[in-house]
Amino acid sequence: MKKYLLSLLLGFSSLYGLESQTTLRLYESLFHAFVHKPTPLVYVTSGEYEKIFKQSKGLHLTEDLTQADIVLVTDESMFLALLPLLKKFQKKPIVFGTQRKFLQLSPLFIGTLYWKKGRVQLRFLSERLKRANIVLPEKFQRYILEK
Amino acid sequence: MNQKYINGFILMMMALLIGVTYYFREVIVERTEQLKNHELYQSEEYAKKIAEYLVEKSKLKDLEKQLENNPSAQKELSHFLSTFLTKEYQYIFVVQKDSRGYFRFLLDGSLEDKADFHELFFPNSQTFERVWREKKVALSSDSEGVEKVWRSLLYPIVREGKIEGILVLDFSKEYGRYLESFNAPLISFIWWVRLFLMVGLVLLSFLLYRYYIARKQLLIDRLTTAYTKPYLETFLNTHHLNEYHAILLDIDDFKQLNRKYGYSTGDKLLSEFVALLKRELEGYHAKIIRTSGAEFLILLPQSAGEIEVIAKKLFSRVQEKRYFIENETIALTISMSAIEVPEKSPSMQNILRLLDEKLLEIKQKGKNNVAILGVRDASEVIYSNLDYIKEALEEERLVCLYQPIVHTKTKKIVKFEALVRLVDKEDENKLISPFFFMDVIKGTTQYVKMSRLVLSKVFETLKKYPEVNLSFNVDLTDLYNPEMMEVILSYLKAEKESAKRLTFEILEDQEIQDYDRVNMIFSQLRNFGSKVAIDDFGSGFANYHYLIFLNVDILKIDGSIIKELENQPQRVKTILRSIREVVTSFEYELVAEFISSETIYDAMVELDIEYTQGYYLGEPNPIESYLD
Repeated sequence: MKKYLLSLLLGFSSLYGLESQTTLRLYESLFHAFVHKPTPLVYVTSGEYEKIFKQSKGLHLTEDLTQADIVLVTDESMFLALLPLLKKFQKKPIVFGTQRKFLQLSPLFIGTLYWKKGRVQLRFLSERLKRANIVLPEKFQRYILEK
Repeated sequence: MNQKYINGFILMMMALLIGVTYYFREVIVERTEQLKNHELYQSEEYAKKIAEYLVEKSKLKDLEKQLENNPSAQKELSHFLSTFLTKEYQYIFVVQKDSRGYFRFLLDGSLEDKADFHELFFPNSQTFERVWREKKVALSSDSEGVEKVWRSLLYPIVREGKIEGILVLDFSKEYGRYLESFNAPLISFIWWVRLFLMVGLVLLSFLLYRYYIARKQLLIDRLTTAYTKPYLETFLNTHHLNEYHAILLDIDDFKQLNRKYGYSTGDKLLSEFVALLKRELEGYHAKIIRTSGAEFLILLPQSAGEIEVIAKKLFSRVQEKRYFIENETIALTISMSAIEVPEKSPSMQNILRLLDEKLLEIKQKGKNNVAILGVRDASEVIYSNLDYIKEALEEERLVCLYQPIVHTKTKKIVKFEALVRLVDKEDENKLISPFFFMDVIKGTTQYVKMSRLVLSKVFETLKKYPEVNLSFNVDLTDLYNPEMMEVILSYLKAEKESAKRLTFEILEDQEIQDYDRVNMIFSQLRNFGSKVAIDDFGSGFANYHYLIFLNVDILKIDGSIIKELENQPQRVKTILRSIREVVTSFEYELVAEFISSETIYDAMVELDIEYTQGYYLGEPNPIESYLD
């Protein structure tokens, strides 16, 4: 009952968990740092992430890869299916991953966001950020690695 | 207690209770926090032992160097860490800060989400930095970007003053929930109590709001926006009447205005009239109360000024004001009585009565006038206070004065009329006329009490003076009252000799409906030898009709007829002759009252009125003054 009342008070947004909210906030913050648009278009195939991004007012989902500003690769199958396609694109979207290894496996990735020991971890490679003409704000500077 | 204060008190109590629930919650949360921290710091002992072991295992080099390029050592020590894993710990690992300021894993004893040696780690907590810097154990709390972990115990691994790593014991969220659950029922209970109180407070506030709206509607006259009569009671509950002036005013002939121009125009007139009153009394903190149709009571603080000045000014303003109705300009006239409420007059009822009587007097004298009641009128208001009368009767501050009734021709006293007076509380020589108190106590138990006292004094006098005859006023409605009748009959039975010398002078203020009943009552009195007289014959209801149906012994001619002798002697004499003839035929005795001058007395002699009574023949005095 108490939770129900609190839910009513806090509104619909609290119906999905804290982790989803945290994740969404992180992604919103990151993607707006990558793309200077009010609502960057994100391409993602994972149902779980789609569900989270649908709650966002600052990010829009797209099903058209060619229109996407950012591609979020969430698993190996997506990694394997998308990378050959992306290589052919003249104007490549920003590719971001949810696994640490993606950064090592493909130079298309500018960074990854994953969880380690229950803590969110960010990795960016400075050379790839430069290549994509991305200048991250101060709060993300400590996550930029040389290699 | 005043309703307003009760409401305020209830609201305050509820707010206080809500405050108390907040306090209790804070105390419980704080105590729970202390309990949790105590539990967490118990893990410090484990951490200390682990840290000591790790330092011991890398005696020659520092920990990082010991583990670098030594997978077996990494495996061995990680396994060692994992042996400490219990359900309380989510993760257990060691990190170290590299030369570039990044934290990197050295060992990982966790069962899941294994980290590689030297893998970068962003702890998302400033506590890691602090522990590294200060080399002191610390607890890291929840922060954004941390999941599954409730809190972390960070233990510095220090060798010879140099920090080599931080041992991290991550407590699981489940363990946190388990610790939280200790006081959860209590916190939940307090939460419910607070919710209940808050809902109660909201509902109560709403009800109070509705109550005040309803009360306002009840206390303020919608038409004129003046206060209504119930307001007067509310006002007097919180204010001292003797700090106010009171003005009673009535718009003259307002009914005719209503008839002439219609009720809606009458309503507009009333609204405009009250608006005028409000304007004129602005700044005086006056309370304008509509007591009936076109009658208003105004109460204003005595500090506003002299009542005479204020009342007369208001009266003239009302006279000056013109109202435009249906292409006509009209003026309203008012009758007004005003008084500065005296210090010792707590009863509004008395003040209103006094003002009302004065207002009536003005109306009878032609309306459109203002009367200011003087100090004497005001001071005598106290005599109309029921509590004052009650006190006087309890203290038996009551006397009977006796006015002689004489045989007209011989001027010999044949009887005395007993007249009741109260004695002033402060001045025993000052006697209070029944004018002030009789109407107030009629119909109350005090009236019976007073009648009993008067009867007692009358019979005392009859017993003391065996040759004296007395008459005693009694209201016909009193004789209808079984209690009063019982008192009278008990005296008559007890004092049979005296009863024969007693006359009951019957007063009445309403028409007799049941003559048989009245005759039966008179018979009971006459059975004891007492006489029955009809008082004030010739006026009001006491007329010839009575003579047809009632058996009496004496008729007392109404004083107002006698008074008129001086103005219209011939007509009055004709009436008196007629009365005398009737009385002679019935073989009744005839008494003329209000003989105030020799002229009137001579007329009575001339008319052969048998008995007379009045100031000319003797004022009401103690009986001793006539007998001794």
